[in-house]
Amino acid sequence: MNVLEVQNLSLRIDGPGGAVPILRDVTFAIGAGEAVGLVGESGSGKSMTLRAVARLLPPAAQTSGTIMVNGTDVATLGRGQLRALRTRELGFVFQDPRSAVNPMHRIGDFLTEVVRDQRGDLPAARARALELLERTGVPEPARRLRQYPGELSGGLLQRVVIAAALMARPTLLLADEPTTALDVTTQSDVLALVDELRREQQTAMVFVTHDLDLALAVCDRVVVLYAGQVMEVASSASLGHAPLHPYTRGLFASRPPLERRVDPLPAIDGVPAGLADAPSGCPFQDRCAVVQERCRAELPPLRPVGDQLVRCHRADEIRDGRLREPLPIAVRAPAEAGGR
Amino acid sequence: MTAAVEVAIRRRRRAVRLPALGASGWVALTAVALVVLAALFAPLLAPHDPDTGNLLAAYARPGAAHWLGTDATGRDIASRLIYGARTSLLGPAAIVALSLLIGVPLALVSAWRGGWVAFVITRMLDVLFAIPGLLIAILATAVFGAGLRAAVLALAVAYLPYTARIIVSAAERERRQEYVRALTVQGASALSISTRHVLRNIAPLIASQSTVAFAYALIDLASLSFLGLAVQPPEADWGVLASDRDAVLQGHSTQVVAASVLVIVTVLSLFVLGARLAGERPTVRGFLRRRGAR
Repeated sequence: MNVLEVQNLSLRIDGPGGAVPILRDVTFAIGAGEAVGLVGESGSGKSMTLRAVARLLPPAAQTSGTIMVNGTDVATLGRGQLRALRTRELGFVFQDPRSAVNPMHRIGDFLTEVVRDQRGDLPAARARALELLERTGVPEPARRLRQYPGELSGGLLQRVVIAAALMARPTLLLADEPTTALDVTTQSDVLALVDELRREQQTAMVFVTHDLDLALAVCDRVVVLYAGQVMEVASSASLGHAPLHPYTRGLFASRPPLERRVDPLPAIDGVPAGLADAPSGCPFQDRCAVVQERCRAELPPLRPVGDQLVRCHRADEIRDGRLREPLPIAVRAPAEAGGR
Repeated sequence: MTAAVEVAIRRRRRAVRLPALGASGWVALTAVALVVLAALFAPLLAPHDPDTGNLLAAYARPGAAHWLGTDATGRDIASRLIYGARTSLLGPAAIVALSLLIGVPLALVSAWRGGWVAFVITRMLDVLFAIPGLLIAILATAVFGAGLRAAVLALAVAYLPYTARIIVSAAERERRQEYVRALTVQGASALSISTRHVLRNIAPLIASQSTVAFAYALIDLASLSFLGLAVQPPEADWGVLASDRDAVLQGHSTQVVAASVLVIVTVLSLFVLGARLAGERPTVRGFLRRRGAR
């Protein structure tokens, strides 16, 4: 049984000017212990997907489709069952640890909050909190438990947030850009840590990021989102080796090279579209280098090409290298920067 | 209450420090503290019994025996003012406590549930808004008889919407903080998030608002007592003491002036303190504005 199954998830948010579509037909699944990356630009719906899984959506949100966590349909849960699911199965790591922790409570209280709330075994929870802080590489963990969030650095605080997410030994870790608020050296430490703890406990993870390289490094599989729709699903190995969707290839081509200065930085032409202002047909058509008439008329289905899933009419041509037009990067060739 | 606020604010290391009270704030705090101490230690401080008079010493002039002189029945005015601090502070304290007791749960439920629950609560408060507080109080004393209890209950109801509205908006703002979402997804209960987190974080604001509400409750109760609707003579109360028309007509205005000055000084001090606790500068305009939104 999969830990998480998201099927045909669509999401709209009611606003004063009518319902704004955010997600359309998002489908993916995660097995036990697996890590899946959700990658996309701002507004592509990756965070909203994560929130839908934890039922943290704003009240004006309307969803359709199903989200199953360990075989339980999240949408059908009552208040108490939802709380139980969140406590036992889910761990959530937020982007900014500063705003995710109440500054008025001590670190120790924050970590044992839910156990205290549900009148669980408090001494055991304290021991577990201490152990997790130690495991997450927080120096002087016993002293940290008595400190306030304001006394910890951002990197330390994010470790505390990760420890809090792992307190109840969840089966599914939902990480919403957990390292964006950290500096680069702290980032790799924190990620290595999450990976280690995750493997130890066989915890599955959804990892939301806009950093494709990071997703490839951390995750087993990557789901590429654009304008609220899945564009490509592939294992990290095959995606890094041979991305098929023109959008994914554009993302790869936009990485600045490490060995020399580039000015201006490579980018995909045009502006990222939300689902709301996406044209009919393929949402990427206006920015695509290999767009055809068919792309404007008809939304390509998400279909298997080789061992990956791609939402592109021309994926076969791209895979076989039969395209006449040049694409940002060549398949199975080292990245040639400058995809403009 | 201010001590608790100081602790709460000091704990919030990263966000705010204790707002600087400033010179006026310290003067106000001292004045309020003196009044509270006088009320607490009235039996020790008062030179005479406030209720027994000596008819032979009626309308005695201020002097060594009677600091502020005596009233028509020869009771010591200074002692009556000191004892009067008790009822004058107890009434407003009860009003603020009662309106918080009802207002805080209503506000937290409204902020947490939102939707139709918040709608119903807001409309109920709006209805209360429409009726002036003193009018409710006068009505209550007409129905239940004059006295402190009816006046306090009526004013508590009248103050409820002002207290609740401010807490609702603060709680709604706090509820949208990311840490509330983080606690929710950890599986913390609504009750625990609302009380242990939201309420605790908005406590300084509630303290500031309560200080100002206390000041207005003091005025309103004193006014009712002055009109003879709340505290009844011969009990010593600043409002009652300020309403001694006979003494004024006979040229003995010490008691009325002293009682009025005490009410004014206490109320202004409370207002300055409330503004300083909220980190604002106390201004006349602020005072009048708050009068509308007590």
